[in-house]
Amino acid sequence: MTINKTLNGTELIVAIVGRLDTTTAPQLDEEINQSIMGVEKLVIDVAEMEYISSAGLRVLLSAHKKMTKQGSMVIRNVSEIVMDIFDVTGFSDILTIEA
Amino acid sequence: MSYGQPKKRKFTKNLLVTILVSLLVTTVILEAGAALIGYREFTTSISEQYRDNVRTVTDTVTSLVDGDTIGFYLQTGIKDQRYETVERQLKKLTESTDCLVIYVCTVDPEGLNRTYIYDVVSEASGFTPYEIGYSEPVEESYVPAFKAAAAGEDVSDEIMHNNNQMAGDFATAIAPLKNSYGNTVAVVAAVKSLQNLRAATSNYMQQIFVFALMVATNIGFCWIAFMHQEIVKPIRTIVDETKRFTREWGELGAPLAMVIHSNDEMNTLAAAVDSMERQIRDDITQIVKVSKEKNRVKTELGVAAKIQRDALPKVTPEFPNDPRFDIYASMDPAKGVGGDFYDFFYVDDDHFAMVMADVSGKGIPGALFMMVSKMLLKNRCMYGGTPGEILADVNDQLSENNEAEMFVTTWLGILELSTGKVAAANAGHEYPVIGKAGGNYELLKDKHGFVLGGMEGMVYKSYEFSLEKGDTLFLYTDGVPEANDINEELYGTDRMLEALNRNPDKAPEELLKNLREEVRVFVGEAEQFDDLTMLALRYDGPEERNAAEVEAEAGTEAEAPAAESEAEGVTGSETGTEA
Repeated sequence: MTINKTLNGTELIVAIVGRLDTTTAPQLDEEINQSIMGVEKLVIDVAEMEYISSAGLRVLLSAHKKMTKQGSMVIRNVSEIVMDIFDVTGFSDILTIEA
Repeated sequence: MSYGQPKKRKFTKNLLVTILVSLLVTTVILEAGAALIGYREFTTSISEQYRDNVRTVTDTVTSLVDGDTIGFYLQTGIKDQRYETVERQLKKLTESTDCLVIYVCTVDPEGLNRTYIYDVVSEASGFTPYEIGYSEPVEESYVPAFKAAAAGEDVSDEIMHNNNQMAGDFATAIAPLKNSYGNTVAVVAAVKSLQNLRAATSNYMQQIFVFALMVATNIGFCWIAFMHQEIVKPIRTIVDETKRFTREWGELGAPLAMVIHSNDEMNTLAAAVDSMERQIRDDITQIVKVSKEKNRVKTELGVAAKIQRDALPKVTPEFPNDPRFDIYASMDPAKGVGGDFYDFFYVDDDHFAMVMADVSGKGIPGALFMMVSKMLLKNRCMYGGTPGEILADVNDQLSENNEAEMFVTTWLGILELSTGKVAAANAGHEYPVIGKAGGNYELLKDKHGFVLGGMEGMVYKSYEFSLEKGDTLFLYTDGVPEANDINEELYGTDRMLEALNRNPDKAPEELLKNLREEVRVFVGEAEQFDDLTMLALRYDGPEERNAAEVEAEAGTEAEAPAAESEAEGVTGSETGTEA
């Protein structure tokens, strides 16, 4: 998995490429925690994310909770497979998902 | 590691032999160089001496022979008294100066022929002197010098070498003989053997060689003794020590620096080996400590895994042993302890609860969260209420102070055994599968709430469906559809349903074992990454009972939780016809 970060003022775009699972989730968690200081809008771009496991969902939930306190977080470019996972786990009710 | 017999001898011998050979080669080169220089110095000085010596002879001859008489003797060939006196003096001179021959001769201007006036030979030479007036050609190599001498030039520096079988090596020096008018009338020559010179040189060389050999031998012995004492012995001591250290599993002995006293690199090496041994000793101690700790953790993990397994209900011939249904469940953790769990238990005699859950983490943290979740769910079920209410309450409790932000996906269903009605709620878990008697297994696309423990205050909707006699409910965790093969391809729910449909009428135990095998074949060489947990229940319809028993239970059922769920207006399209 690779993570590409782009900061535009107070908007941080984090693009995830590859599989977000037990082995890669801690890396994303660390990257997000390091970078969200002062960020008002966090955009998680999952266009090239192939798969997300429960460990990955946990990182997204954690980021969502942190961002709720200082701004907002949206998930962008959700593929069908990932959307199924969000639906099954009920995450689609919690997260703000943009098409 | 090899503990073979040490090849000490070979090592020592090799080192000494190498030193000795290189020493010999160096000495021979040095000696050859010294001898060469000595030889050149020696021969130069001897030759110089020799040349002076011969020049003195020719000078003496020049003074003895009167140049004015030469013409007379050459023309007449008469040996008068004066001639004989000179000849005797020359003879004496020959013997006293150790010359082979002394002669006086006239030479033609080209230096090609000479005619003897005097020719005196030594006794030792064995030559026969030529008579006065005898002519012969000048030796070819002598011609330039004879020509120069005939012209009156000083050729005292020209020493001519020649040799013949009778006299061996010899050298000839010549000088012009002048008459009282200063005209050159003849050439005087002294011939001296080089045998003595050669002998002296060879003697000198022998002495040099013997001396050099003695020096080389002495130096060699000293070197070997020095090397043995200062290098070979300390190295052997160090080698022995390292062997002992290995043999005794890193026990420290007397420090080498105390044994090897020298102030050179050997002492530095010894100190380095000592320091290395201490470091290794410390490392071994550390490794032993760490591996003990690791073993302890491993043992504890084993116990933890057992506690976790034991917390899950087992299907035995005694339990549930209920004619109204057949159930089987299994869990294969990917690691020692897992985050998946299933649970089933009677809420009351007519209501049987089933739980299938997956914690968002593995190992010890996952296992701890799993145990808490399992206990909360079961306890909360016992208090009654709809599955939706139960999940909402458990969610609030799990979300409280959930700093680790773990969550658990949960499917909870309560089966009313008398009717086949199932009241259920889904907190972010996989779709359950229903297999109709005589029909196919299909996903039940139920309404999903959020996972448990993610956030407080979530609402979970209860829903209801009915199982007919012979219908099977199949529950699983994402370890089944998300099993990977080596190409990272997912097993998927389609393959799972196909596998179930190949043997739709099997009993729950066989159904699970078949599916487990199918997944195993699919995964192949790839490592099992996620826990694999499954549960199957086949509803066999209400038990035929006598009226008294039904009536007795009817009284308690009035307060049963499942009864309340109907009030929520859930699907319930097919009410238990067999009830």
